[in-house]
Amino acid sequence: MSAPRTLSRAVDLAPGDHASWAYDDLSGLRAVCLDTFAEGAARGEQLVYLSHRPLGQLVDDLAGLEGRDALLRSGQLVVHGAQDCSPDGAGLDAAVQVETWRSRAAASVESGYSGLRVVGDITEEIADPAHLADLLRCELAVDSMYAAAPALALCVFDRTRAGSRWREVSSLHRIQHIPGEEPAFALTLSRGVVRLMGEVDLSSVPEFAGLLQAVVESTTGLLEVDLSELDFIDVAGSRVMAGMRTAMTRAGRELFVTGVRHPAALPLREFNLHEGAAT
Amino acid sequence: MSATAATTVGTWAGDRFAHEAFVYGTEAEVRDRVVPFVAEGLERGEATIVVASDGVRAVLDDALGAGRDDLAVFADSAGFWRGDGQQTLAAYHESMGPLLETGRPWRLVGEPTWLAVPGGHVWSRFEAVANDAFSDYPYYSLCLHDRRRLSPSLVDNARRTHPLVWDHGEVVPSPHYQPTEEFLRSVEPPWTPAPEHRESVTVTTCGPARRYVHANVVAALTDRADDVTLAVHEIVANALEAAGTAELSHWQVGGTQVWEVRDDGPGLHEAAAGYSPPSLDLAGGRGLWLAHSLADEAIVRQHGPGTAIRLIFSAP
Repeated sequence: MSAPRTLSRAVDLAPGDHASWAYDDLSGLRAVCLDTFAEGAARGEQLVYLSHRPLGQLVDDLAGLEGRDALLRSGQLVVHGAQDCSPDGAGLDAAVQVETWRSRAAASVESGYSGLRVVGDITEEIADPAHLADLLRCELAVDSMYAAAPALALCVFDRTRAGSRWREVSSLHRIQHIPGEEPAFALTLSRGVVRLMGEVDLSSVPEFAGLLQAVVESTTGLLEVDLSELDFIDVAGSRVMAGMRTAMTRAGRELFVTGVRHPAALPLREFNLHEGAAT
Repeated sequence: MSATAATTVGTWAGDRFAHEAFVYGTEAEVRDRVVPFVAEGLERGEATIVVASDGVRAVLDDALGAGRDDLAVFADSAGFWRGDGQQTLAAYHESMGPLLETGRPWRLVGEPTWLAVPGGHVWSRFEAVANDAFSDYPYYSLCLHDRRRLSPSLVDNARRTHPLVWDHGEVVPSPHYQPTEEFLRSVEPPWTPAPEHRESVTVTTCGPARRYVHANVVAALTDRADDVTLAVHEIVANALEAAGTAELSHWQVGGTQVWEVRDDGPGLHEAAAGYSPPSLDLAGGRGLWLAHSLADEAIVRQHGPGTAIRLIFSAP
C-alpha cells in the first residue's frame, strides 16, 4: 500500500515533511498548533505560526503551549501575518515562496536551532478563487523544497470556510488529516515528474482534474506521470488523464505514464495509457 | 454508390453495415461465394480485407493470383483472438478507425475461427451486438463459418445473429435471425431471484464499497480479487453517478460468486449494454465494458426506473 499517510494528531512529524490539516473550528486549530509546536520546541526547532488573523489571536491560540511567552521572547517561536511572507508584494509566487522558506530554514539552523517548523493557515488563500491557482503552484513547488530542507510545514485550513476546492490543496500533501475521512490520494511534482499515491476514483475526479491542470500550467514540455505508488485508479480517473494527454498533444506537448501496476493497467488500457505496464 | 442487381452484396449500397453469415463445408463453396465477393470489392476499388483460416486463404490465393497483393489485409484469423470477446472486439473496432476516416465503403471477409477455442463461443454475442453498434459503418461483413469445425449450436448462433445469409446464389434475409436483445437473453444465464441468504449493503461512496468487495471475495477467487474488486467498483461508480446511492449484494451459487448492484437512477436500458465497444473518443461506457470483460458473465436488467447488474465470477 502506498496511501497518503494519515495524521490523527499533529505529532511524529520530521524534517522533510509537508503535511496538511483540515480543521472545523478554532478548538481544532488550537489543538493542532499545541501538539506540533510542543513537539518542535522539545526538539529544539524554531517555530513559525502564520495566518491572516490578527497577531493577538494567534498568540491566544498558543495559550496552552508550555513556556509560550519565553519561547516568544527568545525568538524560538515567531508569530506573524501571512502577508509578511510575500516580500515586495510578490503575492503567492512559487519561486519566491520556495526561496523564502529555504532561506528561513537555513537561517534557523545557523541560529542554532535543529530546524524550522512552520504552521501556516491557508484558509484565505484556498477560499479566494483569485489566489487558489497561485496557491496550488506554490504547494507543488514547496513540497520538493521541504523534502530536502531541515524544515517541515503543516498547512492548516478551516474546511468550513475554505470553499469547495480544499480537497485539491489537501491532496498536494503526502501527509494529510481530514476529520472523519481517510485521504484518497496525493500528488507531488518533482523535476518534471508527477507522482501519484493512494487511490484515484470517480469520487476524487474533481480534485485530480484540477491538480493535473495546475501541473500542466506549472511545467513545460514532456510530462511524466509516475504511477508506481498508485494503488488504484478506475476508468473515471483514467479518463481525466486521457483528456489531459489530448489537451497537451494539441498544445505540442506530451504526457506519458510510467510505473503502471496491475490492476491500474486495465482502466488505463481503455485509453491507451498503459504502455510499459506490467499486467 | 447505387444498388446493383446480381452483385455479391445484394442490395447493399455501401452506406451502412451489412452482416452476412456464410456457412460452408467445402472449398468449392468458398470458391463460389467468397472469390467473387473479394474480386468485386477489388474491382470497385473498395478496401477489401480478408481475415480467414488457412483453407479459405489458400482458395483465395489460388483464385486471385497477383491480385492478392491489392487486398488491404490478408491475414490468418488465428492471431485475432485476444483471449476474450471484449478485447477482441475492441481491437477489431479500433482497427476500423482508419477505414472510417476515409469515408469510403469497405468489405470484409472474416472467419472467426476462435469460436471453437475454449471461451470463444461468447463471440456469438458480439456478432449480435455488432448489428446495432456498427449500424452506421459503411461496410459489408461476410462472416465465414466452417460447419466441419464448428458445433451445430455455434452454426445455429451464426444464423441467429447475422441478418443476412447466402442462399442459392443470392443474399437473402436470414429466416433464423433474432433481434439483439432476444438473442442475448437466450444465451445469457437466466435472471433468477436473488437468494434470501445474500448479503447486502447500501453504498454511497466508492472507496468503502471497494473495500467491502475486496474483503468479501470468496476464497476460491482470491487470485482474482483485484479484478473482481475493479469490476464491481466500476458498476458501483456508474450507479453512484446515476443515482447517488446503490444497493450492493453478493451471494454464492456452487462454485460461483454473484455480485449485484442495483440503483434507482436513470436506467441503462440498452439491450446490448456492456457488449457494445465504447466510442473511439473519451465518452463514457468504458466502466461497464471493462467490468463485463473481467467477469465470467454480466447481466443487465431494468430495475424499476433504474438498473440492476449482476457480475458472475466462477472459481477455477
